[in-house]
Amino acid sequence: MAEIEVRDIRHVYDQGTADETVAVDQVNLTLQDGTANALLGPSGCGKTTLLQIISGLLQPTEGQVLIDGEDVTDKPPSERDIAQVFQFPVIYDSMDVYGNLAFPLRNGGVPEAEIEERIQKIADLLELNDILHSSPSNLGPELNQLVALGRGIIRADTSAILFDEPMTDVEPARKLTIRRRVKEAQQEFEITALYVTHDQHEALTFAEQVAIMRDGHLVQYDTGENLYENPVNTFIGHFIGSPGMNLLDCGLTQTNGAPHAQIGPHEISVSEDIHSEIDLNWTDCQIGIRPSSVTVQVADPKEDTHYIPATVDQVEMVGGYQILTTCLDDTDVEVKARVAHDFMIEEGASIWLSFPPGTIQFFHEKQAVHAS
Amino acid sequence: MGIRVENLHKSFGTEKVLDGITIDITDRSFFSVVAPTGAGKTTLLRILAGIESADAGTVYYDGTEMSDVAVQDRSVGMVYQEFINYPSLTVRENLASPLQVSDENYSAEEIERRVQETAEMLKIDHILNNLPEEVSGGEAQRTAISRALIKEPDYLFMDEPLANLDYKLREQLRGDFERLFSEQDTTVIYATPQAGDALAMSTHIGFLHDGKIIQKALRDEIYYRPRYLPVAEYLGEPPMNIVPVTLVQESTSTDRYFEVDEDTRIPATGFDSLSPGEDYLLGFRPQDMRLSENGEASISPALSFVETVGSTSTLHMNFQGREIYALHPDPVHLDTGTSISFALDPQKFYVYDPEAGDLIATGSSIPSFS
Repeated sequence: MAEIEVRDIRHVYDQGTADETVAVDQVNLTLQDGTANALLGPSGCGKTTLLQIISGLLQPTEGQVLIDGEDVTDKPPSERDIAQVFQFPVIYDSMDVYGNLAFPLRNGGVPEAEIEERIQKIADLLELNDILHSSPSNLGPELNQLVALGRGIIRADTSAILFDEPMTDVEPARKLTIRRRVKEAQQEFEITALYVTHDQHEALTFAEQVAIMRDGHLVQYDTGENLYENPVNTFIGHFIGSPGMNLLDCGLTQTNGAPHAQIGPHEISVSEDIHSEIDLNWTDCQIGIRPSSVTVQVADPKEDTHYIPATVDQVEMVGGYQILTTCLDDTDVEVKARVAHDFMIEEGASIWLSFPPGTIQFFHEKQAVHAS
Repeated sequence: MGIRVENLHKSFGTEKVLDGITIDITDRSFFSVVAPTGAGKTTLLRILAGIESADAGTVYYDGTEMSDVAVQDRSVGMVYQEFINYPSLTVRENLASPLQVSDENYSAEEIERRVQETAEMLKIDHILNNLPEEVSGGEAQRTAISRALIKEPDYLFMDEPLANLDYKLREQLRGDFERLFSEQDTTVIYATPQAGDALAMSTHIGFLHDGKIIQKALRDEIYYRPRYLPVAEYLGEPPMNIVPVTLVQESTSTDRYFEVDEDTRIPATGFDSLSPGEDYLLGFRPQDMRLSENGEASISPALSFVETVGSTSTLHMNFQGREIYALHPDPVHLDTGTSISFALDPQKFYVYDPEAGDLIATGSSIPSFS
């Protein structure tokens, strides 16, 4: 296994023509040896282009690809020892599962006894023992995808594995199981892995660190926890989380010597450690709060001024919880709040929300404001 | 204006796809047909819309039998998984096209009014002069939906319309759809393999299994009271956990337990209608499992691994050779192999018959619907 580094990568399609498009711009990224990484972003963000540059299918316009410090930018895919798992499983129908797994090893002249040993290990890990002698054409796309994965990691000299939307063809109900097996294989073999997807759930569950791209740029490369707790800007705040962070336009006021966010008639305290960073003359400010951090109360909290009255517009069941879309009273500001799946509430109901100060992010001109 | 379907059958060669479908689709409802891929959802939708004929059975729109009414004479719109727009026409022209080719001779003003109104409703009024290739995937799909809606059809059929879209867009469109159709007169029939999409948007859900709609109910009802095991195991994110148990009661006590094995007994408080000595399947939702402290354990599964997304952790576990899941509302940091226990609340249990697979009892806090 190996460390993969991309340095100052820029890629332009149709350069010098009217259709010239910058797909990847100034991307620097190091994938540490043996780690699980994901490349996440909306369609057209440049993630597939970057993947192809790493695998060698595409030559970057500028920049280098290094494997364990060695510049491989000019090397073809076959000399990079990078395995790939694509959207749709690529396997040989003419061989059984065992033959498919053995194929890369037989090609490399590995002795049969060793082949058998390695196949056994892979089959145990990916739970393929019962189907080793089945024909791929009799298996579903899920199992075929696992076979493709097994074949990718079976060689001892594989330097990394790249996944390109591997769950596309997998039944929703089977995804949990398949995800677990893929993850366990990555951990067991300590493979340097890069998993490309538009689905944050897949990215965050697979990877220790996730690189998020937008418009060709790398916006944040970080742990799932940091992406969620400390997004660098409002794009990450909205993109990560389902639903994303509430981003509420606000003004600024000074109350009791401390800056407060002002939304309509409501004042909201912000975290004390950024008080000194805030300039009361700023415009284009937003506070951000996760739907799971919003506290919901159905009984009038009366004296407790931390609560803001709101009205429930919509109740959706999302990811095992209910998401309430509410509107803060006397404003047109929408706030989403997460409640338990069996929390009984009707659309149109009056509720009270509070935003615990420790859970609020502050953004100025879309960038996060942090304590210095 | 609802749809009634009676005893619909359809086979392709020797393969029975639909095997006696009988349902009533409520007027102006948002009805989702949920099933895994290949279960016959698309066939059912095509027959309901009149694009395909059934081998047997009858479809009624608003009480009128529709067998002899061609699809072009029905008040229906269709949206498919692949968003189909005319590539050489602008979004505006795409929207106008169904009205222009209609027999109803819409005036230019009427066409313009409807295009504008529909575009505003679907939030594509800013791209009316663009070609489909110049707009994002979400906008292209909203254009296709607008085209299906522009004739103000009584019935709109959508076959996995969100399948090809990015995750974030899907999330947004789910919310948009729910809002849009709750204000429309259109009856929506929506096919999807995604339990999450159906739970987020629908007013009613039907579950298609072995060629039959085995349960059709209000969204909340089918979620809280899945009448059959396949429905329970499908309609949840993650699915309901199911464990085989035997009800036991010692002769010296009135306490009852669901016995998993000699070492594992789960309190069966409140399940007085069940018979001691009988086998059952015990169901409990991943959200209703609470990591136990101070030894109040009900079950102690082996932890395979933990997935944390944002503030929610999903614990993957192995219990008695089955994969089970727990959903935790805060991130938990636990290593594989850590020994953990859960307290389970009998008030939130589901009990299924192991042979017939039907729901025979629930805990007292599971809502009932009359």
